[in-house]
Amino acid sequence: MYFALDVTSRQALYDSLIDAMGQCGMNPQVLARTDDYIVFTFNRSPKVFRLAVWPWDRLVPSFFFGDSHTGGGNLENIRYVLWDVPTDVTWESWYFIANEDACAIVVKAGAFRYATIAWASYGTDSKPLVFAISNSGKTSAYDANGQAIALAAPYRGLYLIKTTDGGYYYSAPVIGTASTGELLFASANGIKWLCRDGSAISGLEIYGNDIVGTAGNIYYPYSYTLPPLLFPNAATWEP
Amino acid sequence: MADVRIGNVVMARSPGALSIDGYQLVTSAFREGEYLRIVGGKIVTSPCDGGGVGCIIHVAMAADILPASLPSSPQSLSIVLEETQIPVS
Repeated sequence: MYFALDVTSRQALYDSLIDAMGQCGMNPQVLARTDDYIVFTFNRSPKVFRLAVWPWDRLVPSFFFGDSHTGGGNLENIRYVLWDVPTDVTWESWYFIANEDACAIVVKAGAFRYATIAWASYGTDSKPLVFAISNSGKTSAYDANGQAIALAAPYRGLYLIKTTDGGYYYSAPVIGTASTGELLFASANGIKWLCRDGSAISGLEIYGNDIVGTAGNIYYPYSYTLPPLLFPNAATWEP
Repeated sequence: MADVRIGNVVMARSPGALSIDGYQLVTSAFREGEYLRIVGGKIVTSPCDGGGVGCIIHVAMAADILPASLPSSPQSLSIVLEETQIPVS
């Protein structure tokens, strides 16, 4: 499922995000909200999340999570997922997308700046994973224990991998490594990399059953470019 | 479907291209002073048969994400590429 979120006001934006999560069967619970932020939980993760939108006139997003809400929008053991997003452009397009195993908030500013805040999982016991990638602000990824990790692609967008007739792009698994370089998982549930040039920053594109999210940079442990994200079956999945 | 399966560990300390079983693994984004660790390297099948860019698998990410000191324990990785619904533009 995918939803264009209501950006007529911050409260409308928060309402439409919570409504979209509810329609996806994610049981969102709002713990706190002001004009500047909303703190919520949902059933795709045991963590507590804070989405902030400031300044309002440019719809600039930032995103964090923690282990609990201690009041006033403060989170225990806060981790930064998406931050330092440019404030000189208007982030006017917001979407929420979901398939059975992953979901994401995709935000666009014009044709050239994108950010995707995403939840997925890895392993047979569906360990939650939260991350963001963007061609603008700073982004990071975290494993099920809240430890910062690196996402990696076996393919980095500089060359085209395609069928002999040139018909369709390939997808590749999302790989996770610890900061020490050790492999954490060789594939994540609900997301893949689209083997397409990383400079073809996608934002949000719909192809048949699938949705393509943004490409962009990630900052831990090094800054490097990732190819576009692919959410298989997100266009047609229903809870 | 291209099935890229990994057997031996290959390490290099300089930029360049490695050729394994006749297929080129491009390491153009390799940074000086970092290890490139390709976990595996036997390409069982390939998505194309005519050479050119369609046969090149870019593995520069390994150099980008790995620290200068390699972890001591061996790793293995099986990468399966799948065709999508997204047409080549």
